[in-house]
Amino acid sequence: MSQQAVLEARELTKFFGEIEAVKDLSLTVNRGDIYGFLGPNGAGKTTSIRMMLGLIKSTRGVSRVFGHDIHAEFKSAIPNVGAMVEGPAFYPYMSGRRNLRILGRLSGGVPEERIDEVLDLVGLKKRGNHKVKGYSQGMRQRLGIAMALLHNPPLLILDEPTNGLDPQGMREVRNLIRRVRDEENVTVFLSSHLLGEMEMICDRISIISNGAIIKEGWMDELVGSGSDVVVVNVSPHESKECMEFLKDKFNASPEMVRQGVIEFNRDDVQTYDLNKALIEAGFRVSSLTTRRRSLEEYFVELTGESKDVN
Amino acid sequence: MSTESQRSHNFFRTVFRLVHADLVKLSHYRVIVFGYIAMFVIAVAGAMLLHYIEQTFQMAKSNSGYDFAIKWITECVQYSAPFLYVMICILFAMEVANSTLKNILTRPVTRIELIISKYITALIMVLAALAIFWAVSLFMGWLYHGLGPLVDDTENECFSMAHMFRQMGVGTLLMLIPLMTIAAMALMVSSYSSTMGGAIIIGFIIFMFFEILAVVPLQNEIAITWQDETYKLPIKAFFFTAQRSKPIMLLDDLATCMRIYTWWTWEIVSMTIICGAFFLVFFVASLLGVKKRDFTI
Repeated sequence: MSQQAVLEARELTKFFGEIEAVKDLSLTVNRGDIYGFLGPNGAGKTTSIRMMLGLIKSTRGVSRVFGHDIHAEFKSAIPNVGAMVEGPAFYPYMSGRRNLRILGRLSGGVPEERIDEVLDLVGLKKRGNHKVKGYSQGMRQRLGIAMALLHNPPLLILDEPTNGLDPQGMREVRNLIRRVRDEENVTVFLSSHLLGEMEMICDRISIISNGAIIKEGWMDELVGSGSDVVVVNVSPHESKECMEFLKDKFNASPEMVRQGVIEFNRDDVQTYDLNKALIEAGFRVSSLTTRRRSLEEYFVELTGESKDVN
Repeated sequence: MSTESQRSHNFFRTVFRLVHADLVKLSHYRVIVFGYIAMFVIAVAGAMLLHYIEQTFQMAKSNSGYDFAIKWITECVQYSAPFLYVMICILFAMEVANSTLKNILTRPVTRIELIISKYITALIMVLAALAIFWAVSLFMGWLYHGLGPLVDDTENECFSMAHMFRQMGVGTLLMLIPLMTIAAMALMVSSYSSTMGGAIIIGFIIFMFFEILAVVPLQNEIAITWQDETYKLPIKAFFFTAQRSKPIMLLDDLATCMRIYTWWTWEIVSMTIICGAFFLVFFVASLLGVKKRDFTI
């Protein structure tokens, strides 16, 4: 079944003076995706999003929303998008509800019931009539998402939606994004430099580094299906010997996560052979398991160690 | 409906929505509300002071409620211009300062619609200020001297009440030319600034530059021939902010029973040319500012 492309970028390029901030960026987001746009700080994520939304002009390339060129057919393209670019923005001296009313008016009129609905969806129904300047960071992020969702857009673009949130707040936003996709049938384009967040929520991702996409694909394809890394638990004082043993016997490149916990890429190693060899060599193995390679490990493989990624 | 008329219909509808949204935002913004309250209080207190001075000291007393109102509105327009200027700076600068421009520009709103709506809101702000000044001035004039038909020293009726109000209406409309030019300067400055403080401070410096230079006695004049007559335009007239008092000067004569045969005097023509030229420059610059600028988020 062919997927409908809701957001397409083709060879988007942006120069700021002589600096090429984004280089030939091409990507396609299909209906129903939660699409992750991952990259370190300064990689060009926000610049790309601003080009996709028509907030800035690209030096080269096109961006289309539901097939409409964002610049040439702005008024046809933009109603399909709800966006929160680099943090939420409001009039702090007004209530959340009044902020939504103002934005609703600019979207062509939104009934009061829809305002109630989005406030309820983001969990701000009780605080909707309070002034935004009294909101916590998490409440502001949620109000930002409510603003983006207000006019029922089929595509939601969120730039770093969990910025500045504590783990509880991050979890709330993640759940909210899933709920929005499932309950409102919204396609979500999510940018972040937080690998863990992307891994937990996205179906597809593209990785951007130095303004260029270096990888795009399904999350499972990129990080593996479930047993790429072997985790061996041995007695803590046997850790070093065990690492030497694994290097010699299996030609592996083990890493000691902490005393007694050793991890290495599985490659062609069979776990039952490994288990037998460790026991026969006299190691006191408490467990031997496999796990999926993390996005962080994959990211480091692609971009090297010294990147600003959490 | 044709595509063209549909497009213009959509344009006006969007601009109307933006103006409505601006008015809601401003009516909840304390600085703006206090600004209008301050203008009202100063207008009332100043009118009372003017009356007291007229009564107490040897000076030309107002001979009618109209005379009093016109004298006082002259002062109001003078002192209120910097207030209005700062308030109009805030009108656009608050969008940049709160980063709410990105909210607006990711809705079906073009940058041209956005800046046009700001000009219309600025016009409403200026009209609101003038309405306050006229209301206060006329009320105080009525209170101290009474209104009704304007009479001369021999108690003969010069002008009817309707005539007086009509002429004051024309004067007010003409006053909008210099005041809207000042508003255009405020919108231009704020469309290029990244912070509200920057917009207000830089804007105020530019405003004061024009205000101060307007009182410098520059002797050079430019000769302009109009309707077979040569007129001399002093260079200092180009410092346009001072032009705002010109329409009131004609009203001032009206209050002394001098008929205004035409509003289209050289004073008003030169005011229109100078302010029109400045308005055009400021409007184009603000349009380019909003259109070309990448508002750093």
